[in-house]
Amino acid sequence: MRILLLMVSLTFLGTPAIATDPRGTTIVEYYGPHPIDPGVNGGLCTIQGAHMHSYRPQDEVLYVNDGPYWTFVGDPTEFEPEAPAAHSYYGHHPVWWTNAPGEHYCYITGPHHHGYAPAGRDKFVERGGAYWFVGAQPVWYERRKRKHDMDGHYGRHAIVRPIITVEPPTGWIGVRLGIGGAALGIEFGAPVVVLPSPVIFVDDDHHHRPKWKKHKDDHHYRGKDKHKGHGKGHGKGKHK
Amino acid sequence: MKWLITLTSVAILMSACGKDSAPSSPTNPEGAAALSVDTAVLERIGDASDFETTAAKPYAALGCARGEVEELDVLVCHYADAAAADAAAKSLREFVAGALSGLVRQAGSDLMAIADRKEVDPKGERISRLTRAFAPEP
Repeated sequence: MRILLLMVSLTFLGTPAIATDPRGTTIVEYYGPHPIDPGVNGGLCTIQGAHMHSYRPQDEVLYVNDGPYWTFVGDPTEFEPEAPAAHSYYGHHPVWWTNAPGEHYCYITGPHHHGYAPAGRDKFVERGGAYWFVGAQPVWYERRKRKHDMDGHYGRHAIVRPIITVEPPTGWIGVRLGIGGAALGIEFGAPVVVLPSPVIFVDDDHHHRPKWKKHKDDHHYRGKDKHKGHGKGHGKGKHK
Repeated sequence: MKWLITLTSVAILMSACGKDSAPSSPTNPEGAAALSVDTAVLERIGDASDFETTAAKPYAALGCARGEVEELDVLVCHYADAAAADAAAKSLREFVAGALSGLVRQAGSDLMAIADRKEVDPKGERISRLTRAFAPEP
């Protein structure tokens, strides 16, 4: 018997379409690897490109609405700590493993991982075993950042952060003009960067030059990292 | 004489009914003109002998084959050209409905749909392997 698919298109807010058949079977479209519903298995689904599952995303803030797809832009090590293809990043950056490359961003503050090395067309600098985005922010960056509270998620969920022990590369800190000049996205300073010496860089001055302060406990990262014994250093630093 | 007429009528009726109510079994081709899927395409995915010809009409294809590979339900359909395959890709989504995981992929004038109905591949490792075999990345 043929199954008729009833498309329940949640077009408002750009939510990816959820299709159901008359029996109520849910078809959810994903693009690329993503966390598996813990009720099914847990861990990460490894399928590249467009595919479907019968379950919805568990935490939508870790996804972008990528046309008809849910595309995961969070840190995969939260769901699979030994994820073999993890690359280290620092700060916000565009993502390109979506169905619409360059149209979405990762808004994770501080060090984190992704399953992909940077695409050639974007401006990334590799330093300290991590990738830093030094290109211009798109005009929609600030607006979408406010709506996409990925840091809120990582404040509640532990991940193993990569250890970054260098200062930011040139171009990473500064005034960022939106592409096209219609909007102005301004971002000063890195949240926290640990230097080889026991000194950290603190963004406590949003309108003037950032200050340098003595690091008190010589720990690695002041952010949301809940793992004290981290040091796995997932970043492969393959990209030169 | 009457019994002969009756018998003949019954025979004709049975023949007609048989035609109309022929089960549209998915393992039977829809007409002799339907093309089978290229064996070489099936061999990329698994053993071609694991596949059987199945109805092509629901997928607007010239020919389709269905089989179980690594416990996954796999459908491969052949089209006149890549454009026809691309246009029909949505129709193969129906094949995946009800499965835990699945996808539809195109390789030239062929389409493949995989459905994990037995829920044996939650991480998609088998699906990924078959997908790479069907449509190797350039």
